Order: sequence, then C-alpha cells, then structure tokens
Amino acid sequence: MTDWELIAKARGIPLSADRFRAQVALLEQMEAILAPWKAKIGLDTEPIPAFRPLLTQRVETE
Amino acid sequence: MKTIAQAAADLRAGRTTSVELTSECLAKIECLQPKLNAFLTVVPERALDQAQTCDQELRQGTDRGPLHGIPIALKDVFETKGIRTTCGSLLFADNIPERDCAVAERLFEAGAVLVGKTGMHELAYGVTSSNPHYGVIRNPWNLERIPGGSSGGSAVEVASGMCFMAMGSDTGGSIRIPAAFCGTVGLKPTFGRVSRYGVMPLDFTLDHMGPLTRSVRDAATVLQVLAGPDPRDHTCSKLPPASYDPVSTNLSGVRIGIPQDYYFSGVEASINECAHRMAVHAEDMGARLVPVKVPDVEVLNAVGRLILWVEASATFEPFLSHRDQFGADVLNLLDQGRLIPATEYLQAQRIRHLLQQEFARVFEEIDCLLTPAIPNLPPRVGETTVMIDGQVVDAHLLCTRNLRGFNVLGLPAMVLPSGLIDGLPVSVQLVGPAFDEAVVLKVGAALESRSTPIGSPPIE
Repeated sequence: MTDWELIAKARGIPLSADRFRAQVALLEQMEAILAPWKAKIGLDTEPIPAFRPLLTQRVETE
Repeated sequence: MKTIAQAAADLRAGRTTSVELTSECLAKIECLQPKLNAFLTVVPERALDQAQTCDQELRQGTDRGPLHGIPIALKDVFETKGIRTTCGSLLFADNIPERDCAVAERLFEAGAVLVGKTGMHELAYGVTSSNPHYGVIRNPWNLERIPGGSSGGSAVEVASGMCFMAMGSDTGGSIRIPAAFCGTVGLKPTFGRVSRYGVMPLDFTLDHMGPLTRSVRDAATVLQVLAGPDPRDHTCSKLPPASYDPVSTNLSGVRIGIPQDYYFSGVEASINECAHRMAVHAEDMGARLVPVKVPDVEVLNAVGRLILWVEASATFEPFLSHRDQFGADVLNLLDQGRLIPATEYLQAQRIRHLLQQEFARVFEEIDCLLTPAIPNLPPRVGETTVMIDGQVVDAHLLCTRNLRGFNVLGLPAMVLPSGLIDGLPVSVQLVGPAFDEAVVLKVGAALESRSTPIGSPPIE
C-alpha cells in the first residue's frame, strides 16, 4: 500500500481506482511543479500567516 | 439597460421611483427565472416594502447616497437575517441566519433594495454554476452555455436586467469568470478591503467579496459603500478607504504593464486581439504601455490550487460524514484536499510569500497590469474540455488560469467587457497593487468610455 493509500484509508476517502488514481496523479503533478521553488525557500521564509496575509500587514504599517 | 448611476439620477429628478425600479426588476425575474434559473430565493414583498420606504425617505429629504432605492441581489453565501442562505448546498438548505453579514449591513444602510439571493456553484467551489441540487444556471447570451461560476447567478441577473448590482465572492476567479462570460464588470478588491464577517467561507486566505455591475463607475460606487475596517473580521484591513470614483478618464502618466509571457499565450487569438485593442485605447488616452516579464504564474496557480484544496477541506471537514449531501465534483475536491500533508501546505504558503515579493517588484515598474481575462469562450453546459489552438484543454483550469494568481497574491483585479465574439462576451482583466483599487477603476472607466458597448443579451 502506498503512502497516499494509507492516508486515504485513514481518512475514509474511497479508494475507487480511477478517481483515486487521478487524485494522486494531480498531487504528483503539483509536487513536480513546486519542487524547483521549494529549493528557493530560505530558512527564514515564513509561510503567509493563515489568517492575515503579509501583504495586508505591510500596507497597514507603512 | 440602465446603470446604477443613471437610475440614481432618474430617482432624484423624479423621473422614476424605487418602487418602479424594483417592480421592473421583479417583472424581469418572473419572466426570465424559468429560463435562466439565476435566483435561489426571491423576496418580492420585502423588496417592495423596502422600496416604498426608500421613496418616502427621498420625498422627506433623506438621501442615503447613490445606492438609495436601487434593486440589488446577494450571492447565497452572504448571510441575510431571516432570509434563507444556502451556499448552494443541501447542507444549508434550511439555514435561516439570525444576522446580516457586514456587506448586507452596509448595502442596506446605503439604501439598497434586496430583491433576492443568487444561485451559484455548490459551496462556491467550481466554475460552472451547474448545481446538482438547485439546477443548472444558464448564460443569457446563449442558453446552451454556462454563465461561469461560482457567482453565476449574480452575473446572469446583472447582465439580463433582473437587478442593477449583485454581490459575488471570488476564491479563484468566482466573481471575474461569470462577469467575463456574461459581459458585466466584476471587481475583486484587495484581500482585507471588504469585510468577510457573516459570509459563508470556502477558504481562509483566498476568499474575496466584490460587486458585479453594468459599468465600472457602478463598481466604484459599490466599493465606496463596502470598503473599510470591520473589527468583527480580523482579516479586514484598518486602512481607510480611498476615493474610488474615477473622475477623470485621462490616463496621462499611468504605466500599464503588458505581460510578455504566460497571460497572452494559450489564449484564443480573437480574445487576445480584443485585449490588445484595449491596450491601444489606453495608449490613445495617455497611458504608457510597458512590456513586463511576470514571475512564474504556473507555480502561482499550483500554489493557489494546493492552498485552496487544503483550506476548503478544513472548512467543510465537519460535514464530510454526510457524503450524500455533496455533488460529485465538490466531493472529489474535498477528498483531494484531505490527501495533502501539512508540510506540502506550509511549503505552498512559503512559496506564496516569495511570489508576493516577486510580484511586488513588478509593480514597482508599473501602475496596473492588463491581461485577457479568460482564454476561451464560455463552454457549453456539461462540457469539461475545450479546444485551444488545436489542443484539448481542461475547461475548469482554462477558466481560472489568468485569474487565480491574484487571489493568491491578494491584489485587486477587475474584468470588463472588451468585445463580442460569435455573439458571446469576452473581457479584459486589470490588476493593481495592493489597496490601489482606484487605479484599476480609473483605467477601467477610461477603457469603458472608449470602447464600443457590447449591448444587452438577446433574451426577453
């Protein structure tokens, strides 16, 4: 069983073949697109805070 | 078809009343609703009562401003006290809120008359507005075509004269897609510019609220009413609103960026021509066109999709034990989001940070970015792929490809009609720096004044 299948099973997501294969393919496609950018992330690069994009904060404090 | 500005002038000159305007809209709804399915709920008695009050106030010298007595509609994500608010979902089919959302409060305070709640894609999570529970919403320009989504009902109503303005929400293009497909103006303000208090959420960091209107000036009028701080929404900016009325159409000194990559590629040639024509209009009116290279939009869109999947799944996870209450497409997306590890989500948010910095550098060179809004004409109902340059492309991805990134960046973006192709509207998108809706509206008003109006949809 793959990691994806284990996660799906744990979360009660149906493992019907076509649908699940398409979902995993999409995740793998995303991983491939984002991989070069992950390499650019510096240790001090913080995620955009979930409830308050930095963009908003920056403008307010100017 | 009249704009808000024209109707407001008629009201004050005594040429019409709010009751007359509202009655005309209600008559249109009665006639067109069976064909278009744009509304989930219509409130005729309440609307006429509200209109009578507005007329009485005007007679007594109380004028609440340019929206006083104007019939409007709200997408069914905006909570309205005592009026059913479904979010286009079976989960909330009997949801009668006990409060008005901030947007409704401000519109009602400004004298707007609510005629109803608009149909939408289920849970605002999709671009077709073909709702498995409440039916297919149809495009008034061609009933075989989708109106776009998720704010499909809002765009259909404004385009076909069922109201003067309808509010939408936009998480990956959901105001701008239907506005573009139905030939209206659609404005997604900066993240934090309009309060989300009392709006049923799809996503925590991508949802934006904004108006769909028949003119750019009308969009500015509505934003003026809606913009401003709201302590009940902690994502709402404390920055005071600017003056949004585009008083001048002189674009001297305005630098308009024309992307040299991504946005004009993979777009139908005739749609690109319309966008280029708008750029030429802008130049004729004094703007300087600046060729710009934009950061990696494919990554920007991937980041947006990944964040949306995770956050939307978190929003609706408590309901996922009721799997039979969801349509197949939405359930598939909600399952997709629950497969993503937390580390991937956080890396996407970190890349989002980098991309915001890169786009901020682009906006140091320009005041506004101009792109085609959507690369294709509205697909037919049920169509999941379309042909572009001989290639079969996923219709959903195509509709969002030029729009989604500005949700990720939180920047203000507006679409407005740029022409008609095969009897269907096509649009251009204008994007500004954070909290500079004013420049987007100014350029939009100038382009609108110069271009040939597309007219009204051929539906009676």
